[in-house]
Amino acid sequence: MPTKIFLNKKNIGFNGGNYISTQNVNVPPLLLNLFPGASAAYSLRKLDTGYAGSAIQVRRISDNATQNIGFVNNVLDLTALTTFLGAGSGRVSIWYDQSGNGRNLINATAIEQPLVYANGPVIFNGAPYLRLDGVDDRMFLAFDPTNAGVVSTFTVALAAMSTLNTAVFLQQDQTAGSRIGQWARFSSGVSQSITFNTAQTSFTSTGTTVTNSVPYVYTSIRRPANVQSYVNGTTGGSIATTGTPIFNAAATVYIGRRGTEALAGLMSEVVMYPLDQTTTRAAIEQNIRNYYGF
Amino acid sequence: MVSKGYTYTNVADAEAAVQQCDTYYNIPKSPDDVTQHWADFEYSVNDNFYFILFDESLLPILGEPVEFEVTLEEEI
Repeated sequence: MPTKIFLNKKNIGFNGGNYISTQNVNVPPLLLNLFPGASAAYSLRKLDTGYAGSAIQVRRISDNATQNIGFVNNVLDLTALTTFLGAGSGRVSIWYDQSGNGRNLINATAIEQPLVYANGPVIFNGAPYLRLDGVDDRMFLAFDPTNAGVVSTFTVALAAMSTLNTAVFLQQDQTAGSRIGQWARFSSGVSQSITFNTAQTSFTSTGTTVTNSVPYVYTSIRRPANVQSYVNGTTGGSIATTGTPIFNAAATVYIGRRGTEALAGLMSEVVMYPLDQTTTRAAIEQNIRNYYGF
Repeated sequence: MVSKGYTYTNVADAEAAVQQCDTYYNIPKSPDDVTQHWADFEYSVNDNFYFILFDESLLPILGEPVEFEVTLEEEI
C-alpha cells in the first residue's frame, strides 16, 4: 500500500522507500475562490476551481510547434510539458488569464518569450516558474486592470541578477510622452511601486530592500490618494499622489520588461484586482506564500 | 543604460534585419501562430534610432553585437 506523507504544503511521498514527488500542493479552495473579482490573473498553478482553460501555450524551440499545457491537481501539468518538450526547451507564447476576462498575455516575438522548460521544467522550491533573461523577455496585452485607477497587484518574482539593477516586473504606461499609469519594479535592491499622474509626475514609494535570488510576493496597492508597496507583507511605506492617474484600456500592460529595464529571474504569478485590497491583502499574500513555500 | 545588440538609423533597415531572422528560423511556422517573428526591433525616441536587443541566436544572422546606450523616457 503506497504511503503518502504531506508536509508543509509539499507532496513528499515514499512508496516502498522510493521518492515520488516534491511538487507543491495547491489545495482548494483556490486563491480566486477565496478572493474573487480579479481583473486579470496569471499563474502556473490553478487559481480558480471553475477555470477550465490551460495555464500556458508553450512553443517548442526546436521546431516552433506549440501546445497548450493545463493543470493536474491544480498545478501545471509537468508530465504533459515533459512529454511535449523532452530533452529540448520551450518558451511561453501565451500566459492564459484565469480571471474569466480573457486577458491573455502574449508575445509574438520568439526570443522575447520567457522560458518554462530547459531540458526539464523550470522549478524553484518545488514550484514551476517562468525564467526571464533580463534582456528582452516579457509578456503583454493592452487592457485596463483598474477601476478608475484603483488597483491591487500581487506578483511572485525572484531576481537573479548579479546586482539588483533597475528592473520592471509590471508596467502600464500611456503612449510615449504621456506617462499615466503604474510600475512595480526594483532599483538598486529596493522594491518600488510607482504611479504617475496626469502631469506625468512620478510618485515613488519608499520601498523595501530585497535580496538577490530570493522569491517574494510583491504587492502594490494604488488607492485614490496614495500608492503603497509591500514585500512579503512588509510595507515599504506609502506616498501620497496629487492629481488623478488616468488608466486607459488602450495602454499596454507589460510583465517583465520596460524598454531596456528587464527582469533577470523568475516569475510565476501575477494577480490584479480592480479594488483596494487593503483589508484582504495579508490573507492573499499568505495564500501565495503558503503555496510557494516562502 | 548601456545595452548590447544591433542599431539601425532607419526603420527599413530594422525591418530587413527582422525579416532575415524570420527567414533563417522559419517563423512564423504557420500564419495563425501567435509567434510571428523571431526577433523584433524597438525605437528609442530620445536617441532617434532603432535597435534589436542581443540574443545568442542572432549571431549567425546579424553578426557580432555592439554596445549602445538607450535613454529611457523620464528616468526615475
